[in-house]
Amino acid sequence: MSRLLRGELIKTVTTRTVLGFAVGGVAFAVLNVLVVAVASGTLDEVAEKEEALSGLPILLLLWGLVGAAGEYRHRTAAPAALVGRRDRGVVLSARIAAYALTGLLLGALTTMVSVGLALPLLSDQPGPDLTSGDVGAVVAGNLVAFVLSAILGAALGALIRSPVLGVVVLLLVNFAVVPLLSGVWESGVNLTPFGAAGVLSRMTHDTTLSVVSAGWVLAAWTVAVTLVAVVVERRRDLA
Amino acid sequence: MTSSQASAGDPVAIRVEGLTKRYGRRTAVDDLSFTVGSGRVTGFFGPNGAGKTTALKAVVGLSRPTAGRAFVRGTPVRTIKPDARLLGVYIEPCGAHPGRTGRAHLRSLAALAGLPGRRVGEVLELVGLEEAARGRVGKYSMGMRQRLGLAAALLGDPEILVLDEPVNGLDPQGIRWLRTLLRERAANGGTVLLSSHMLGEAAQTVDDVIVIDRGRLVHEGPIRDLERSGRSGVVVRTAEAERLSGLVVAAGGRTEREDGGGLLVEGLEAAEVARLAHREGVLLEEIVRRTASLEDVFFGLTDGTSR
Repeated sequence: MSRLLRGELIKTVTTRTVLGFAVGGVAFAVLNVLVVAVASGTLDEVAEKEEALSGLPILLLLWGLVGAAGEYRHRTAAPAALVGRRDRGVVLSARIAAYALTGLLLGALTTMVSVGLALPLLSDQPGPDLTSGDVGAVVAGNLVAFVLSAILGAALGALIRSPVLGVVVLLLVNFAVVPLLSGVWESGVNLTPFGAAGVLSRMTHDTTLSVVSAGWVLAAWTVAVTLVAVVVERRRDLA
Repeated sequence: MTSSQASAGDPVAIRVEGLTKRYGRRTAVDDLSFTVGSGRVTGFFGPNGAGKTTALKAVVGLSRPTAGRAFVRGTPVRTIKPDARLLGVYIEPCGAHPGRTGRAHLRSLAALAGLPGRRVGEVLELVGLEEAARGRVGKYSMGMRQRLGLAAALLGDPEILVLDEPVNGLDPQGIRWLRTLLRERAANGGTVLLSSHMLGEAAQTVDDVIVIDRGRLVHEGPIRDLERSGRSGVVVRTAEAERLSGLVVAAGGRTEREDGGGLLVEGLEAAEVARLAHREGVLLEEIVRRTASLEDVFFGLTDGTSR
C-alpha cells in the first residue's frame, strides 16, 4: 500500500491543480476573515467569532473530485491500474488516501492563514475572547471536515469520472438542492454532507446538531460513498 | 500479474477465447479467438473501427468482456494482478496528464509498480526523451507522446508487450528505432503484440499476423502465409487473348480477363507465358509480372473498407 500511496501522492502534487487550490483556499480564508471579523459588524458571541475561523470544506470536496475524476478524463487511471500489482479497488483506495493527505495539508495551510489573520482582528471585538481551547476545537473541526471532504470528493470523482460534470452536479446540489431542502426540512439539511461539513467547520453555528454529531454524519457519508466507489471501480471498465 | 503466477516457458503468451464485447446494441468484438506465441512479434491488424483497441483493452484487463476470456501465460486475466514486469501496455492515448511532466508521469508509475527510480532515467534514454521529459506532456508532439507511452510500457522491462498503434505519429527514424527494439526483444525471448491499421508498414516487424474486421477474426497465421496468399501472376496484353487463354489453360495455368483488356495469368511464370506465346505465334503487346502487395491482401481480407 505504501508504494501505491507514494505513486498516487506523486500524481497529486505534480500538476498545477494543487497550486491552484492552495492559492484559492488561502484567498478564501483571507476573504472569509475580512468579511466576518471586519465587515459584518459587532461579534460579541463565541460562536460568531468562531465563524471567522471557519474554512470552506466544499473547496476540498472539489479538490478530491476534480483530481480523481481527472484520472479518467486524462486516462491516467488505466496505466496506474496496469502496474499496481493490486486490484483496482486497492489502487483507488490509495488514490483516495493520497487526496486525503494532500487535503489535510491544504486544509492546514488555509486554517493557519485564517487563525493567524483572524485572532488579532477578533481581539478588538467586544464580548468573551476565544480561548485556546475554542481555537483548538475549531481548528480540529476544520481539519476533520477538510480531510473527510477531500475523501468524499475523490470517491465521487471516481464514480462520476468527469470533472466538469462532477463540479456542475456538486454546485447544483450545494446551491440549489440543499437550499430547497432547507425550506422544506430545515434540520434535515444538517444531515447532508454539506450541512454536516458546515457545522463541523463552524460555518453554521445556529443548529440543533452538535459538532461531534456533524462529524459522525459527514464520516458516515464519506465511508458509504467511498465503499460504493471502490466496489464500482472493481466492476467498471477502466478504458 | 506476478512472475510466479505465470510460466515463462509456456509457448503461448496470450490466448483469447471467444472474446465478445458489446456496447448496448453495438458489437465491437465478436467471438474473437487467437493466440500469441512466446518470443514472437505478432501484428494485430484491421481497418479503423475494426475493434482492435477494444479487444486489446479486454486482453490486458482494462475492460470486462461481454463474453469469452483472455489468458496471459495460461492464467485468466480477470484473476491476476497487473505487474509491469510481466505485461507492459501502451494503449492510446498515452495516459499522461497534460499538466504533468513526462518524468513525473513515469516516476509515479515506477512508484506504483514498486520499481526503482533509476528505471525512469533508463527508459527515458531508451526512447530518446531525456531532454523533453522536463516539459509538460501537454506541450509534447504526437510522436513524443507515443514515445512516452512506450517508455511507460517498457518501465518494468516486461516479458510481454502489448502496444496499440505504436508507430502512429513516429517519424521514419522513430519507426526504424521501434522496429529494431521490438525485434531485439523478440530475439531475447520477449513477446510483442502490436496493433496497426497499416499492414504493409508493420509487416517488416512481425512474425505472425492476426487480422480482424468488424470485430471478427478473418486471418491468423505467420506473415509469410499471408504474403503467399496474395493474388500474384502475369498480366499480358494481346489481340489474341481468347487463343492465349486456351493455351495457358492447356499448359496448366488459369486466366482471367481484367478491366482494361489485360489477361491475368496465374499458375505460370512470366517466362513460361512468353515462351508459350512465342511458340504458338501469339503476338504479345505487353507482359508484366504482378506481385500482390500485403496491402492488397489486407484489403481483400477486410472488404477493402477503411472506416
